[in-house]
Amino acid sequence: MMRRITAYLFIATAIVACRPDPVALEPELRDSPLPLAAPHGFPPLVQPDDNQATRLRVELGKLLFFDERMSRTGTVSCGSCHQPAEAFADDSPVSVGVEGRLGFRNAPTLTNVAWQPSLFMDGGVPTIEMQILAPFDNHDEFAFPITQAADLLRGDEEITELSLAAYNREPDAFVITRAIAAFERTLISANSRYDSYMRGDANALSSDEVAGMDLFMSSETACASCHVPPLFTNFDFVNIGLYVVYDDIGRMRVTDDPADNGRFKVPTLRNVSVTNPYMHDGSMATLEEVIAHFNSGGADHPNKHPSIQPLNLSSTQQQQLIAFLHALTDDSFITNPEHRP
Amino acid sequence: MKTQLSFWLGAALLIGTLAGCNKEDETTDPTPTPTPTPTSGTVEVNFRAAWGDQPFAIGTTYADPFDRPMVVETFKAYISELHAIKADGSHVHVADVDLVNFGTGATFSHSLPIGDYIGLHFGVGVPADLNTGQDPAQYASSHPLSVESSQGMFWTWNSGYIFNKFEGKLALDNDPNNMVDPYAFHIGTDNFYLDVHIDHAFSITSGTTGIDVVFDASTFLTGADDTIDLATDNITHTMGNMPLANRFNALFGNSIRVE
Repeated sequence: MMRRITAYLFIATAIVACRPDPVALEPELRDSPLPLAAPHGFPPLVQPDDNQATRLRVELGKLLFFDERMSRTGTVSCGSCHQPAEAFADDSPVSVGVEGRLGFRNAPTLTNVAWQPSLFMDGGVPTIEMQILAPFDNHDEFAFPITQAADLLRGDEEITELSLAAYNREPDAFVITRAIAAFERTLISANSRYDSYMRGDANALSSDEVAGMDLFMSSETACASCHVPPLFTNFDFVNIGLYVVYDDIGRMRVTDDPADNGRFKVPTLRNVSVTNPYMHDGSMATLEEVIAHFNSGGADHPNKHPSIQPLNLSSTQQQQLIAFLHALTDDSFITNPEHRP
Repeated sequence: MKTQLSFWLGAALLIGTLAGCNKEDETTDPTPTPTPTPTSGTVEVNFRAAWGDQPFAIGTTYADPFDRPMVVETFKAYISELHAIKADGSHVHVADVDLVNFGTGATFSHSLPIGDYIGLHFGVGVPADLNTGQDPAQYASSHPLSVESSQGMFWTWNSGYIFNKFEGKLALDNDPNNMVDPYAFHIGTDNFYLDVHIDHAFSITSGTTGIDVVFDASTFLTGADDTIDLATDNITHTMGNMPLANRFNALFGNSIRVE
């Protein structure tokens, strides 16, 4: 009997030795699909074939999103400029990278970034995965080759185990870009008081907020022609007459087409009350300034969108618009512990 | 006893099978076979840089078209779709795409059918279907278009590869000890893909045939129809200064010769 047991063990050892990389997964490293449903009324949420969300991919992505080792100085992470309490934007006029270096644009919110057909305010990059390469490469952001960041991560046992379990490979550029993108696609916000109102709770909005909503949706202001519900953007690139001469040429930077000078992607207005300051360069500190700009009709520029015209709104109407914008804040989103380190 | 014997025989058989699971078949054929007549040989296309009739080296001080001292710090380019052209005009594939660091040069080696050839055809850049909108992280690290191997030849802020990067410093005040003024030509986007056709007769025999494709860096800034003054025209990332990118690419395309 003993000899038979020995023989079984011998055979089992031989079989195991012939298999590549046997992995006995701990329960916490067993992955499973993570369904991401589009909120009611939203367009379908499309995920790339090579990066369908799973529990471990999102978990790994969150760890990397807030991991300051991603930067050359070990002091800056994605979460430095995209802070949960500010709807994944920040309060600096322009992004602050390693050694306090200033970028040249305001950090955009990542609210509902899964629906963005292109990334950056000029639309230069087509996928979230590819966008994640950019801060590594940027002298004013991480200033750290992603290959070196991956080298660091491969020395981290926990991250490496997660990486193997989630993507069946050790940390590398593929894993870093995919995991962070998988996390970012979970940043879904559709639970503001406006949403409650639209779901039938007539008491969710005050009378001023309803008046502001009516103004927002009216042809008189045409706000909703670009900030189209439910995402509150149409993702178009628009010159809003912010300047007569733009230091930052906007979409022209990637198209070289003068007609794109000063055109920037229409931002979502969901959670806009916590994403101050505003505009591509963070030049407006408050929503009052933003509404005053649109009420004035903006500066003359040959590319200015035809709908940007003086609105002649009263101060009461302007306050009502601002009240409505505050009603787009999703408290459950900006306080969600699942979105925090 | 019989059961145990069967068991051990089975075990031995299994172990034998497993032991062989990573080995290639080892069979020998004692019958001698006649040596076949070669039908192919090897072409080695060596891409390298020169400075006029002088060797090129990163960090060497050269003179720009206005006789100011300059050094080249980086000269790299993607070479794509390298083909040899047969006498009947048909193309024979040599290589897909690779990144050439002209600080060292690079050799593309490939088997070609024996015969006479009349030239080479290749592109400087990355073909459109592999360029715009393509994610370098999708490639294995050894692939020339991967994050790891592209070595800064990808624009992460506007997806697409940098086809050709030529950059360094010069001394606008003519003081070779004051080489502080930067210049950088980063050429990319689909419209800037350079299709290069070179007439060059060569024969492939059973051995190795070498061909030197030389990029004369001394003519990147000056040619028969144009001269770029680095005092005023010293930087382009293609977008943002497309006229300068066009001028540089035209000069660059005329710099290529075969030796």
